[in-house]
Parts: sequence; structure tokens; C-alpha cells
Amino acid sequence: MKMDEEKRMVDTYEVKHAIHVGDKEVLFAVDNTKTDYPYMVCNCTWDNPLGIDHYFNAAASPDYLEMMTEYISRVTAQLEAVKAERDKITVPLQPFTLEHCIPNDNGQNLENKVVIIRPERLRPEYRTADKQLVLATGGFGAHANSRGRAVYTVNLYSGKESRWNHEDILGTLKPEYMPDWAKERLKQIQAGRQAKQ
Amino acid sequence: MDQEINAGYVITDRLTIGNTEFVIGQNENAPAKFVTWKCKKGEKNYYWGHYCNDRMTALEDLCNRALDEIHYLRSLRQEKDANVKMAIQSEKKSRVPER
Repeated sequence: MKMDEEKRMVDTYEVKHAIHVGDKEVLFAVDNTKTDYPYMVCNCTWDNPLGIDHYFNAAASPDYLEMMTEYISRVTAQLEAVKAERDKITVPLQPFTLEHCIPNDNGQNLENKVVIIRPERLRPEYRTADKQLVLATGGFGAHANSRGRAVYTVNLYSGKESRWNHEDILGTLKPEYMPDWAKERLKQIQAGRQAKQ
Repeated sequence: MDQEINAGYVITDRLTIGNTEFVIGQNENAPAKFVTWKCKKGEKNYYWGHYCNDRMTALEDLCNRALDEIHYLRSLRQEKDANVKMAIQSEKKSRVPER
């Protein structure tokens, strides 16, 4: 459960437990006024353009232990999914640190550069090289001396497009630390982007 | 709400099963960065720490400990139900009229 949150509600249910693993959060919520189904378990994602809570796959029951078992099995399933995803990754996972980059200050233009996402801005299970290396493609935060924050990126490993804030960027990757897989992917992504233009 | 800290570890996750709570603590500067503890619901005396170095392992351990507690509570419930059944049966038997 996130300790620093005020009461969080899903419909009339108050969230008592919430564990975020991988791409989903699993919630356990209670509404004691619903005598038939006071206990509810559901999932939540934010993978939409506005980043708003999307609740789905809800199950409810009057049996606390049954719902708690469901909750734990969903968290366990998410852990297994993250492990399976990690096992599929064929590149070294060793995270990039400050020594691998030219640190991010407001003075440098990040656009069209390979930048490193700060590990602490990624979920603990995603603090790996494949999640950190991205190509900055635009956004007001990518420009030098800009007051804007948004930096639009393409992940070099997965090709997934995302939006980060300027302060989430650790720095620009020093060319000598660019792994071979990233060089290859960068070429493909740049070629794809040029073809679109 | 203020962050809760025990033995230098920030409590990041909590699961309540019956009167027992299981928590995950995180301390980036400790040799073992994560720990799971057990405690009585509503109390802060954490005990039986399981230490590890990554959050995935800690979460897995938290789930396993919670499941063990659920199984224990289920067995207690079954035992209680069986006792109630036996009590009802013996009460019925004692009411059977003598022939």
C-alpha cells in the first residue's frame, strides 16, 4: 500500500492494499455497506494517452480470505510475468550510471540524442539498461535552456514511445558506452522515422 | 501521511491478514536493501525479518508469508466448523428419546 496517500476510492470501495508490479497495480478494496460483496480485487493501469487510472478485471466476494487469496495470486502472477519478460531480454541488463553519460544540465539540447533515464525514476523491477536507453525525439523539455518539461522518447530496445520530464533524464550517453545492440536499434529507429517524414 | 521507518527501513508495502500484518521495508544504504517483517495488526513491533537485495524477491516473500497466514486461518476456520458440527451432532444424539 502506498503509505503517503489519502483515502483512495474505486467506485464506492476504499482501497486498503495496492501493490504495483510491472505494468499493473493490483488493488484490494473494501466497502462494508455492500453486504453481499464487501471485498473487491481489481487491476489498474495508466497505459493510455492521458495517463489516467484505468480499473479492470474486478472480482468481489463476501469472503475476506477468498479475496485476499485472489489478490495475492494476482500479485504473484504479475511477478512471474515480469520475470518471464526479463528472461526474454537478450541484452546485458547492467544499469547505466552517471559515469556513462554527459550529465543533464539545462544547457544541452537533447533532441535526436540517446539519453539515459535515471534509474530511480523507473520502477525497481525495471531499473535495467534496456529500459534506460531512449532516443529523445522532441518536446519542449528536450530543448536547451527551455522552461518546458516534456521530453518525448523512443525506447531503443522495445521501440515504445513515451513521455518523460526533463528531470527524469540522467544525461546523454557517451558514445564509447553505446552497446552494439543499441547502435543497431538506433539505426533502425532513425530509418523508420525518416521514412515517416 | 508520514513515512513509517523501522530500523532504518522505510515501510513501503503492507498486507493485513486477520490480526497479522506483513510489511516490506526498504533501505537503499543497508547491505540488504529490502526486508519483510511480520507484526500484530496495529502494532509497530516488527519481527521475523527476511532480508534480501531486490524488491521482486521481497514481494514474493511477502506473498508467500501472507498465503501461509491465509492457510493457517482457513485451517482454524475448518477446525472451528468441525467442532461446531460435532457439538450439534452430540446434542442431537443426547436428545434422541430412549426406546
